[in-house]
Amino acid sequence: MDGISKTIPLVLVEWFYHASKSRLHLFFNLIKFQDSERGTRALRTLVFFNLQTYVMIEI
Amino acid sequence: MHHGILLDIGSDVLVIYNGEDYIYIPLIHVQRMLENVEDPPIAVPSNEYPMDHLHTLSLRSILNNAKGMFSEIQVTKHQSVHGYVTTILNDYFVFYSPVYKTMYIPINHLKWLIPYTSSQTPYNLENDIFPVNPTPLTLARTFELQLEKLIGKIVVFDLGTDPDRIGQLKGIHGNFVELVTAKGDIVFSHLEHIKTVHYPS
Repeated sequence: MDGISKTIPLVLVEWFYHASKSRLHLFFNLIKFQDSERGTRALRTLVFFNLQTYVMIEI
Repeated sequence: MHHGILLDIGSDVLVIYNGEDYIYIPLIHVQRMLENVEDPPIAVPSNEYPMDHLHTLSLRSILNNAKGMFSEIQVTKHQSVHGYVTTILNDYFVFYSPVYKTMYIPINHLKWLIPYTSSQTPYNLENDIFPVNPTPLTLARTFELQLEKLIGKIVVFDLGTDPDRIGQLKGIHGNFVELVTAKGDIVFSHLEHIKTVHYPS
């Protein structure tokens, strides 16, 4: 967690963590993040906590 | 919409498995992701990845691993292309397709890549018809410089689905590429919006 919290706000990490733990239906519109490095980091974290999850991805 | 199990994530690419294929998707093209609760779950694959993930997982490493390996890629909106990566340059790669022959594709326009997991060849063609080094032109470091080598030739952009994307390449002016269509119309296309380039040999 330390490595991740250095790159994105801790509150965001915690949100992703709880979303993952409670198996919330992830409906995460990433368009607003598309052009930012921060958005890519956030997406990486989201995916990291949801590995092995069956997902649908729109590209 | 792609359905699959999230398997791995790298610096700029993620991998899902849809029960049949491994799909490598650059993060930059992911617009929306949601948990799939509608379809029956699929099993996590027990076989190895078709590509090496051990050292580093990035789009560039995936393209490097895909060199010479049959794969299906999508670059334009509705059409995928089958063939194999032959060379990776600074901002584009060269892809050989038995249909379109040598293609130049900016890396940032690659939407996804699916490596073939079987020994099948595209269109069931014999292996020996696929050239090892199919590029008749020398390769420039950047996509723009490579396009300059095609000035004076007939070129096809974005697989030629739009007649305005087929013509004689007259020149490159800043970020705009000048094309003369079959009817003699002059069309300027922004370099950043060209997804594929190939030309009749």
